[in-house]
Amino acid sequence: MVITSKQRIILIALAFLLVAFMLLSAGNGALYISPSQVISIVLHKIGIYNLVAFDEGQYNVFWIIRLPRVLLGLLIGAGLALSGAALQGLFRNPLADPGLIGISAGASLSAVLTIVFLSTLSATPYYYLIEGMVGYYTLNVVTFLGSCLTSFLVFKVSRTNGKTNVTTMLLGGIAINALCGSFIGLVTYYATDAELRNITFWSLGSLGGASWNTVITILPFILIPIVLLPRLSKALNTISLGEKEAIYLGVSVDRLKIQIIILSTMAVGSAVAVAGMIGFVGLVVPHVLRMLGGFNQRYILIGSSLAGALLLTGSDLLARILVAPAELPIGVITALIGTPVFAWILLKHKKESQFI
Amino acid sequence: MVDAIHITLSVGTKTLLNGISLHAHAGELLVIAGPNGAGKSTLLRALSEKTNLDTGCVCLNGSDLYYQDVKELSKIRAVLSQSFATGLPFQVEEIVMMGRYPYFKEHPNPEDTMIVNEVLNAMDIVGLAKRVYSTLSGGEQQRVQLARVLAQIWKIDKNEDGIVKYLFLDEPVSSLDLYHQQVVLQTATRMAKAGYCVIAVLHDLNLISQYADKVLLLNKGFVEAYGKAEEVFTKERIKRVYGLDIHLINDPVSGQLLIIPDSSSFKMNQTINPKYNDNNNKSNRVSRTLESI
Repeated sequence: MVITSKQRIILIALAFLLVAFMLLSAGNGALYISPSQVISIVLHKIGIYNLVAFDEGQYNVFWIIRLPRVLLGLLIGAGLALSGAALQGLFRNPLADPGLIGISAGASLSAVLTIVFLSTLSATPYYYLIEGMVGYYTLNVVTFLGSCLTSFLVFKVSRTNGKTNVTTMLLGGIAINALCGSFIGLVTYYATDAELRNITFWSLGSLGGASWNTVITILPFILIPIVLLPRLSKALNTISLGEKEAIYLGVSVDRLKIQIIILSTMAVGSAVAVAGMIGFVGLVVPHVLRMLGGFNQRYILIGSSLAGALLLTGSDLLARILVAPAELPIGVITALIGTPVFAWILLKHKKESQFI
Repeated sequence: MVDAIHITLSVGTKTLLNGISLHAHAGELLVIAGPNGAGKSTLLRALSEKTNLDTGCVCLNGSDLYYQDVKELSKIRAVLSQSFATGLPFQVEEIVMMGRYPYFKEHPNPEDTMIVNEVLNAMDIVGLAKRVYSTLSGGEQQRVQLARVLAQIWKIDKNEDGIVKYLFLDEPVSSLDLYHQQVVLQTATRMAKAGYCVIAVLHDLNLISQYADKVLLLNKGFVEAYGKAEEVFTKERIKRVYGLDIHLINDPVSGQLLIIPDSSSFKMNQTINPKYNDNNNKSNRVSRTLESI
């Protein structure tokens, strides 16, 4: 389906804004690097020298601390918003978000369990055994597995006779959410104060763990959905007519559901695993795009990746500079700057937004 | 050719279709008629898509429908469902273009754009092309959906290939005004004449007698009668199936058979109404609620 000129303008504007915010975000912090210095540091790396002067410290801070963090924010924002858009399209439900089919619930429960379990275990020699197996990334690995497990469970529950029932899936997601919630409550009840603090910060989200390692690790998990999901946009457009109509138009609806669920679990699971719970992005970014430019899924999916990345890059920048040298949890910022923008667009497009 | 051989379909304990056989040929407009809950939509669905039948089979172009690839099928068979989505915030043009999705990967070919224009014209909605679908009236929305369905199997060059294409329409004129009922059924007839196999569910017996080449009258999942409209619609049969007295007259101008309900002798028929109210509704209601979310 053709992207209209209005949609193209929105996409290009988003891309430019994203690049601008990446430059800003990479430059700001305890050590200031100007945008032109950032550009010349990047060019220096690929062999073009002496554009603008910068010193060794700036060079190192940029490559070791700033760039991985900016890239991580970009990937996570894109992954969260993209899966939100795809799930909303698949469920034909504007309230669908990655949390709805149990992805986040599983991640939270396994993260909370890991935090409590590891700190209890740290007094015993077994701790070093686990540490030796998965090392520093225990929490990330377990969280990712947890989110895969719950979304698989919900998916399994919703299948009858080889067909996936979307309503059962939503209800199953609600059930899993409630179940995980009560377990989380139970675990937090027994947790110590230090563990509670860890749990709270994890559930507010943070890009503080950014390093080249984390970026490289989650890169495939988010890049694959970014490349593959827009290819399903035609099928997602036909789904909006109804599942039957999509089948009449030659779409294998059941295969489509499986593809979308796997791809979004990949993106959201890995995002939550490295950055904790960052709410709001997956739910609201696709809506903003719909209100601005229309319902064509190709535009929505590509636009959501860009806008999600933009929102998270911007939020991370604010999270770092607002209370410098300390740092706010990014989940707080996304909602804090996202909601006013959302409300503004909602009011402006009141007439066209009956579908919300 | 559509061949259904002794198909039986039941949901739970309720038998919806009971040993139905039919043959629909390319070049003819076959109309399925019958009272509410007779199994018309179920039959249409069984003829047009992969269905788990209890017995029997449906063949399209001589091979079993159950084993045909949905992708290949989408290029030779288009279906208008009875209930269609109403709240889509797409442009009319975009929705009609979805009918051409099986034919292109990302960007429509010039041919696809041409076909979209032709079907917009055929359904008299050229003026609505840029409008947002959800803001249209019910009848306009129905014509947009029809245009989308037609676009899916529309041929520009009438004899471009020898493959028979199939058009299934479930109550295509249910929300249309007098003029557009004619527009739609004229198009359906024209397509049948051009070599399509067209099967439609219609309620209006007068429209049926005006346009149908063959009529299949269903009652409670059984075939009550099959043949030309003049043969199928008799006073006794209508009384038996619909529980209604009618006058049959021939239009003095065109000679067409007219079916006029006799309102003076009308009374509620207790023996028929409660039964068919129970028939489909329960199972349908469940699946509808599930689909609608």
